[in-house]
Amino acid sequence: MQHHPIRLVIGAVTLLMLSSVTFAQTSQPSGPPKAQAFDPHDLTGIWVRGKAPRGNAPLSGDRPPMTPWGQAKFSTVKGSFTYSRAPGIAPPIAPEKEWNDPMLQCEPAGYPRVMLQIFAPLMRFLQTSNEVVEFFEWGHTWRDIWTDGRQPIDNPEPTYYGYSVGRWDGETFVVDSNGFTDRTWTDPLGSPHSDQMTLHEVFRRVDHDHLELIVTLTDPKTYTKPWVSDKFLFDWAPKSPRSENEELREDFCIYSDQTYFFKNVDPVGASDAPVKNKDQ
Amino acid sequence: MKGILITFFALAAGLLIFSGPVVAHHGSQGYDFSKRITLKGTVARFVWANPHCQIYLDAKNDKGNVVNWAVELNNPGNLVRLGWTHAVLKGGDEVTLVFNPGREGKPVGICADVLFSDGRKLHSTQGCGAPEEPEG
Repeated sequence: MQHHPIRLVIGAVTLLMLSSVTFAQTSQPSGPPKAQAFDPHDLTGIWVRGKAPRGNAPLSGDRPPMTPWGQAKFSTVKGSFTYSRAPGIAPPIAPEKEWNDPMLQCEPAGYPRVMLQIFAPLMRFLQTSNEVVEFFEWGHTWRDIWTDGRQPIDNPEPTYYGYSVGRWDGETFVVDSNGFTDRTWTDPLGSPHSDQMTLHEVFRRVDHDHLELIVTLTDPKTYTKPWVSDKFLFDWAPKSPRSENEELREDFCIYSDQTYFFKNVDPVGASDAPVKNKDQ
Repeated sequence: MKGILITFFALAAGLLIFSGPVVAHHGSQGYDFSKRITLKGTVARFVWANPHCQIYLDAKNDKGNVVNWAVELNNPGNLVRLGWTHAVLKGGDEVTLVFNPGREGKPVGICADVLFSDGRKLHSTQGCGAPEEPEG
């Protein structure tokens, strides 16, 4: 028996339609969606800072009073940001030609500032048998958080991202860090810190898609008491939303690009940008 | 009493809307944010780099002379979030730009919309003052 080609096509289309209807019926979820399984001791993945506050913010608006040393250092800040959630926490915005933010000179953001910038608020965790590696998109850099049982060391060589030791306390990941250079600003507002700064961080993966972090900064040379951060919230992401590729973006500050921009586009910087001044 | 309540909630809503980080963007004093201009021209160069991407557009002025405009955009990562790619523009493309121009006649711009001849539209939030959108 021979089948007419048109009948065969009609038959195939009908089968496809019926099978898709069946599939749609069987795949219909019933009841509320089930929470995705997760291991609270697994931080692996990419975490994107949430919106409130999303960036260009201090650890919190409740910054402790500064010591005379801290006040003297803070008085040199010529910044470009204010923070209306806590008026007075930042100095008045300086004229552009006076800005002295080290990041305008392509210096490393350092920690914790790298998490407080508006343009790159995300990190990626990778866990091995003896450390947790935290990668940052800005600067395409990372910090090592040692989890092999070692203790913090006294007076490590100063670095931009510090010396960090981590441990699990129940379902929280606790990180203690020291050994920070004092060349960075703590946040985009210019909040100072010294090389005596230590950080105590508590991470908690609350479900598959959400991670919390609270940072306590202690720096008796700069502040009269510890500075406890807001609770930072991060959303899990399958890839960086800021990269066309799968990898974290190579988000560098490139000095020649920075100079080109200020010379050619910025209407104020075209004549007197801080970057250009460095060339003269 | 009702009026007081309405005033209270209006103030609270205002605070919620306007609280948050305030940015003094570099060059912001040099742009005229009260004016939008529309220019049709040819892309001379598209720069995909930090601290800000840039479009250089050759467009004729009212005297028929070609002026090279420099328009700043978000940084590359934030443009990706807004749907741009590094290859979305190239030298020689004919596009229309809508943006806030520089003051004092400087051929620079910010807060740009890019309109393509096929109807596509891209937006850069840089300088637009939208706090919940990625600026930087």
